[in-house]
Amino acid sequence: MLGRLEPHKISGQRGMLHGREKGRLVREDIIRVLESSPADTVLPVDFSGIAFIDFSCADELVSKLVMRLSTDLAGRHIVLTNLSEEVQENIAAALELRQLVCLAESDRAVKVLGRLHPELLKTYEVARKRGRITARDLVGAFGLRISAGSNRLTKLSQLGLLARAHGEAMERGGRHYVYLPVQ
Amino acid sequence: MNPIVIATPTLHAPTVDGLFGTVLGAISGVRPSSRAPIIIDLSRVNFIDPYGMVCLCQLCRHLGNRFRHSRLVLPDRLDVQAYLARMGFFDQVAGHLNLENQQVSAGGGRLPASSEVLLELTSVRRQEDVLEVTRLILDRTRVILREQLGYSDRDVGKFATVIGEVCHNIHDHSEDEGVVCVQRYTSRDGRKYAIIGVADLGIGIRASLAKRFPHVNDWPHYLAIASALRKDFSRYPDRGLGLYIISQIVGQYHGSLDIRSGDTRLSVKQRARWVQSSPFPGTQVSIRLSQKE
Repeated sequence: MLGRLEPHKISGQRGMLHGREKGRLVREDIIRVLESSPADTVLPVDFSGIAFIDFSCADELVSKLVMRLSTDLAGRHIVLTNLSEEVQENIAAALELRQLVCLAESDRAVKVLGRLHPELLKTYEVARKRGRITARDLVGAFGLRISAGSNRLTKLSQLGLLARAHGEAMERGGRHYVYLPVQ
Repeated sequence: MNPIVIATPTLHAPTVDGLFGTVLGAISGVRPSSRAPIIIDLSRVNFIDPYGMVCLCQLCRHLGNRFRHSRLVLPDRLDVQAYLARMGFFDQVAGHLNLENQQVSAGGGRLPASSEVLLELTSVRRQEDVLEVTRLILDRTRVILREQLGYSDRDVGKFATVIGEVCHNIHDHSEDEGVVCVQRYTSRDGRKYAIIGVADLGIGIRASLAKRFPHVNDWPHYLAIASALRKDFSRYPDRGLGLYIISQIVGQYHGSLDIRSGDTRLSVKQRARWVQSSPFPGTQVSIRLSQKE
């Protein structure tokens, strides 16, 4: 299982986050925390103090943060916690427009914000149930060929929903990668 | 110079184009140093919606910036004057020209039951103003939007988002200050809706885009407006989603969107229509959002 860091709580003026400049500043705060954290960890980003975030801020803060996580911050992960409906709405809208996704958690339920292909979502949910997943697991679960399963897991890893953990030797030789769900 | 009489009784998106054309045409040969006052006669006007109001504010400011002596003859109807007063119109334009035929003091009187002020004329100069406008909308209008338009908290959030985004554009793109106001109405068939009016006297959409894409300066204004509504086409790299998300939300709430910049107005209500307007500085936006079905 991936290590979970102490939540990073976000604050805004009177509980509001607005504008790209504010989004950029909060994003850079989070990046500083991520850069000083070990790889293969999940940083909960706590929005409990935020009643409203406008679209521009959501795009600057969350969308661009998710983009960084797939590039120079690969190996680090985030999950957004304690989002109100209004806050979730604008974050999801910003992610959808950029064709990105991000995990959100409230009351112990995990949700994927942004638009995710149903098959990818099902695969992620299988990974969450099992606690780990390999391409061979997808052969059994979805009837996929190994190569297709491997592509699907790579895609989910690129989207930040799975973390590639380690390679395992297979019974008949060769190795496959084990992926852990980000949660 | 004779007073410029505004014959249309209604100032809203379809008629403001004519207002600009009438006024600007009349003053085209007038020198800024002229001693003769420029007089705009609104005595026949009996309805002004938020878009009409913010455009009128900016027209007054434009005249005040250019001419030493300008006057505005207010509408004869007391209820219209009361509405202007209640919306803070007198205070907004007081520094730009003189008001005539004023029969209602600033602060106003009662409004007709069919309308309700959600946000008076509010200046947007700094980022903090955008925050304040958003906060006012969320704090003051939540109950009204819930009860009158059937909006959930999510819908109120989207409503505030639209207003915030269009105000952000003033700060980020216009290189000027702007003004915003919001009003709720009930149509004759009983349907409730809100109209948001936002206007500035800035550089306009084409000039803003041309900061990053110089060839846009050669485009007609309608093409610049259409491009600004596309995803990812902005003066700033990695942006360009604001007007797009506004248009998406307007569609979700069976509303309409008018964007005027340069000499063109784009009007979107289910379909997009281009309307020739008169050249006027800045960008002016009208957004209508209807009650939930």
